[in-house]
Amino acid sequence: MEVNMSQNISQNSNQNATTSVVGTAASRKDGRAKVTGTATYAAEHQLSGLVHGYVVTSPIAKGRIRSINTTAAAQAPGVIAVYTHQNSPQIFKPANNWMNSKIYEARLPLSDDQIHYAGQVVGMVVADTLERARHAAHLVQVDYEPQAPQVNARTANYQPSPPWFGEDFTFNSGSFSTGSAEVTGIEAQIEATYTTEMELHAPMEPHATIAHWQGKDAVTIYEPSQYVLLTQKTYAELLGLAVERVRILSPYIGGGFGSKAFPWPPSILCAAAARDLGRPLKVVNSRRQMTANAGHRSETEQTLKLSATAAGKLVLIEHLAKSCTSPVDVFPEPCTIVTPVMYAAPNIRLEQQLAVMNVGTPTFMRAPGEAPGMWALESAMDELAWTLKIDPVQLRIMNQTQSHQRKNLPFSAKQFTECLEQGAERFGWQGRSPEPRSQVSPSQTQDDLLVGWGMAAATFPGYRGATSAKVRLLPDGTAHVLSSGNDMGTGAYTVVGMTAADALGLPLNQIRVELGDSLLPDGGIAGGSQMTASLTPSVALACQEVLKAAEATTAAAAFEKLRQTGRAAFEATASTAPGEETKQFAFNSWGAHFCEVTVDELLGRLRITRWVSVMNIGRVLNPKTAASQVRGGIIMGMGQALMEECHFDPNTGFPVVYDLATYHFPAHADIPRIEVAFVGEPDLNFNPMGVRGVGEIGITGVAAAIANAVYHATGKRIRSLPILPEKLL
Amino acid sequence: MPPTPLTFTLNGQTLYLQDVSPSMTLLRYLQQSDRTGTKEGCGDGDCGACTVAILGQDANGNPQYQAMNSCLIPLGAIAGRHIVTVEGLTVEGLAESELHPVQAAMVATGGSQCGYCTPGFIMSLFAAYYEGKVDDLSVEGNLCRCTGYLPIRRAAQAVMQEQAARGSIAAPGDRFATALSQAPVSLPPLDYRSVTQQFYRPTHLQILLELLQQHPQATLLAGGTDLGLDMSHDRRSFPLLISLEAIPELQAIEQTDTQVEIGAAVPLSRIETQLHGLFPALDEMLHWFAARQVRNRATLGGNIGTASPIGDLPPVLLALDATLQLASLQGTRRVAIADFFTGYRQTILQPGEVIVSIQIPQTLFPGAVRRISNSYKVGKRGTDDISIVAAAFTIDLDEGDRIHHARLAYGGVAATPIRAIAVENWLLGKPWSLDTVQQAKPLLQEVFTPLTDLRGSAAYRKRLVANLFEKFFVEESS
Ligand SMILES: Cc1cc2nc3c(=O)[nH]c(=O)nc-3n(C[C@H](O)[C@H](O)[C@H](O)COP(=O)(O)OP(=O)(O)OC[C@H]3O[C@@H](n4cnc5c(N)ncnc54)[C@H](O)[C@@H]3O)c2cc1C
Ligand code: FES
Ligand code: FES
Repeated sequence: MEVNMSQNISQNSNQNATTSVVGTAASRKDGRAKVTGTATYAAEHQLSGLVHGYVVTSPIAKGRIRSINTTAAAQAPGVIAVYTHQNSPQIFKPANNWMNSKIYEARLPLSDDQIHYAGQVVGMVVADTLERARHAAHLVQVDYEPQAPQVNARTANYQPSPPWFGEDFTFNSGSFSTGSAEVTGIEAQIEATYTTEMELHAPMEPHATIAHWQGKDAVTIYEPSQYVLLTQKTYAELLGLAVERVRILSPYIGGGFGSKAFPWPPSILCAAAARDLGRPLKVVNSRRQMTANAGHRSETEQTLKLSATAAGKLVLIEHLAKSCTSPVDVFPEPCTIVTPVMYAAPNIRLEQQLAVMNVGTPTFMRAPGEAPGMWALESAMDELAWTLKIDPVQLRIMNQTQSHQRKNLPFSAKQFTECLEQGAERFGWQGRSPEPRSQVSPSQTQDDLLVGWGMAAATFPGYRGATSAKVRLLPDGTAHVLSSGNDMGTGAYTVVGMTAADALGLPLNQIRVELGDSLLPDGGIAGGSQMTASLTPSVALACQEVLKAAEATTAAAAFEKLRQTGRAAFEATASTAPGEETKQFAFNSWGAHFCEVTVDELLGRLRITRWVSVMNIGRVLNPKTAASQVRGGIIMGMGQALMEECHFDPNTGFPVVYDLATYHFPAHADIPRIEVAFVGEPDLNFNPMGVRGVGEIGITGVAAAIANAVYHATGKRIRSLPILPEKLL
Repeated sequence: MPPTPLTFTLNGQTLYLQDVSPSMTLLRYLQQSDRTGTKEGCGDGDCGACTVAILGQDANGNPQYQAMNSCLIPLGAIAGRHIVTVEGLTVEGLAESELHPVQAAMVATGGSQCGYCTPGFIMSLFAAYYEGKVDDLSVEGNLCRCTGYLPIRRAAQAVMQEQAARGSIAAPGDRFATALSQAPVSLPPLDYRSVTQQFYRPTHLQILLELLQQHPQATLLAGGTDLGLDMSHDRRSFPLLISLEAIPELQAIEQTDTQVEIGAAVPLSRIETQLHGLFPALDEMLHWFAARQVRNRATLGGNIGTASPIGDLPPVLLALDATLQLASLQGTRRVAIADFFTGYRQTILQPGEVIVSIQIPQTLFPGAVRRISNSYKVGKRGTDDISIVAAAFTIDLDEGDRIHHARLAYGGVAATPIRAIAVENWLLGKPWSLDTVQQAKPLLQEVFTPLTDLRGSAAYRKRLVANLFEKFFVEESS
């Protein structure tokens, strides 16, 4: 799919070639396609002969299938096929090792008669229309043998957690590593337990797949994918095909937040069944089916102990984090990832535990680990600040660490202090009253409301992966940038275009960007906030290479050569990857949030009335798209703080939260004015562009900032998210 | 008799559909006919991704574009109407500068990230554009998981400024403004049959009552914001639907010195504008009721007819001593709303009977000199949410500021919308003071035995029942 620069109505249309585009607030390249409804998402591709699948899901959360009767369903009008575990289309077991393939849930759909969670796929009906498939799906009679499910995280059985994708978060330093119990200098201490509930990604676009086979040995799959090339390899393994026989198309993704990188069971079933049927097949998850079949962030329980001197110097940090996974895959929520990067202490102990519950498989959700981890750590820091009667901003500045204490590497280009100081300045933090229930605000008109100010830090690691990009110069004076990497709303179309514009010295409207197609060079993953950091260096390099190939110093000269020689195009592909720098430095982005809340104690009604965030993310390629990313993270954090939670019926194990009327996330009216600013220098140790990611840091620390403000307003310390009205009464 | 086709106008093109299900939602039809600009995010009316603009009437009876959730509107209900979807805003091949102003503004401010919500926002802004009121409220029914809403707010502001600078809503030659000025306002009758379904839209009350007598099993369809959920997800079949949208008696709002009479099928957004300022409790509750797209369809009759224990408007009507006009072929009767609900989703409505209108008295209780009245809704989210508890209060005071008449009505605390009658009686004759309210609170806390559900615990609800009354006192006396 391509987006043409000339369709862009931004202020850049008169940009001339001599000024730099990178760093300006250019409008999104894909803006027009999106406002006109012509951006096409996976489920919207029209293919002739398309048929529709609707999955049948389990109402019980644990047990087995005694028998299935599909007769009525098969005879219903329009029905083409009914699949169950007794006649599953052929699916091959993938290596599922990240290198060759990765699926979200290790158990393959319809692989046996066992039920592990409510909402598990137990069958699929295919019919000529969606309505008929859905109708017939309700006619499939399944006889279950239920067992009592475990859906309560508080009573689950926790064991030491395995590492998280190769990274072990267990860590002991100082007295914890030597085993000596003696820690001196402790003059103040807090110990508390913080909890979060299960959260759903809830992207606006439901998960969907269309599989279109060309014969039995080649397939085109339309599926929202944050990682196109790995998805391609994965489907090749699942379907027993050579990689090049699979094409993945994912030009636009309607939000993923971690839930759309790899195939989920309904998608796998779709691809396999389409081969069996010999017809293009579409399977769309309904909003309800997404609760179990599209991932979530596990509930967490974290116990934090902070010990300090009277002057506020941390002496000891203990952080124990618990999370849950499904019976059919392992995904710990790595909350303690943040602890050794935030604050220095001579004695640190980190531990992660994991329990199995009868729920769908959890996965990466925006800032996995960091989001709940910073909620606990930054709440605990606030509690310590109140205990010590030290300004929480000062406490953080005083205790920050210049090195990653677990990896034992210095941080590159860290400007955390600037975030805190500039945030405090912009917010007017010096006007804060030092006692709970005593803050007055100039913006506050209703005198029966309490006002509170709170702050918290933010952090997210700088990740970078290997990527490739191709650049093509055409005689019509345009440059095309091609990569499988994609834009799920992050602004990749735009920053890739801007990078190429600068590298080639062309105005932005002469650059075309094509993304999200597995035929294109590997653009890596849009996850871990690394698409920009990983892809733009390859784009910049490919631009240099294409000029070399043209033996020209400028794009204009290259175009001239094309016209004179009649040649069709100059083309070059370049690859970049992280190198030795990862052994010399630790890379993290930093930030600080400041907020004001009002609390109506009669009703328990909380409003966020003001928000200031200052971020240090290395070089800011486009302040407009970057600020929008941060703001998006902040509102998701507000959701986590105030309303997002998924629960299960304790008896049946069935989710009682299953749609957007029961799973709330913030609406327009919940959102105050959010001011986002950036500080700091390009991080040139990290990559030649000097850019660290920005997609996830926004959410980290948000819930803590709000809970800290609530304490300031009410004197009540809330340690369990979400902060429902009920807890404030 | 040959079946009449189902006809409507989509982006200026008249469509004649035969053999479609009249209960198929407009969204499903758009998707099936390859018009994929309109998105489906939930199919439940919650997200607004499916928003389209439909020509309806404003409070003065003039044609107006109204934003609505296409996932909740059945095709039968759009027969004879004009619809604009996002595809209709731009013409293939038009230059950049010819994007619709709301689209251009959204591009300039970066109003979309993943873009999936964008067409819905565009259509909400589009409808608001021709009202000349492009404010935050116009997009309250659109959810976005990506942008943090700020760039969308900026786009709305930019459009407003542009209109203000121009001194007119639309630029000269705006084709939508032209279409608006020429649009028909009345809905034609409809008798549409598919193989298995029938959809009637009578235009006379008498015909409606006859149809109902003939088909007591028929489903009455008002705005469809409750019924539409079942249609969107095919949860049940609708062999026979009768639309209430074209019957004058059900569409009128009549005002006299002593009362206001609201037709049962008047959309809430029209009540909101036409009766604004008359009943503070009604204004306030309508403000918190769902979102714009839903209020453009939902009706008072539907909110009462659905008899949900968490319906937001019955408490208001209870607090205002409203009465209902019911009609069937057997005759009409007038009942107090307090006598209407008999149990969980049970009412006194007989087969063949319909709610025609709702009367709200405008007079004080005899002997009173001053009225204080307001309503409250506590939900988890700022807008677009279902109540944990809803409450509406009316206190009439005598010359000595003593309570002469009291109505304390609640939703979400019992199987039906309900009044705290014991406490109302206890209040009579007492001074309207914080002291009285404080004494009433423990009584209020114990009058109901609400349930615990995922929205709130029983204990929380009980405290809200009492605290909301205090909130009312504090707000009204400050
Ligand atoms: C996203 C969303 C948000 C919502 N938010 C709220 C909210 O905040 N507060 C709230 O209270 N409700 C809310 N609702 C529910 C719904 O909008 C209201 O109940 C609305 O008033 C129903 O009116 P309607 O005209 O759409 O009803 P319909 O769906 O047309 O009908 C509802 C029922 O009433 C019957 N009926 C309709 N009119 C009559 C009549 N004249 N005589 C007899 N029977 C009749 C119908 O047969 C049907 O059984 C929400 C719904 C959605 C989808
Ligand atoms: S699809 Fe979500 S409101 Fe219609
Ligand atoms: S831009 Fe993604 S939901 Fe709004």
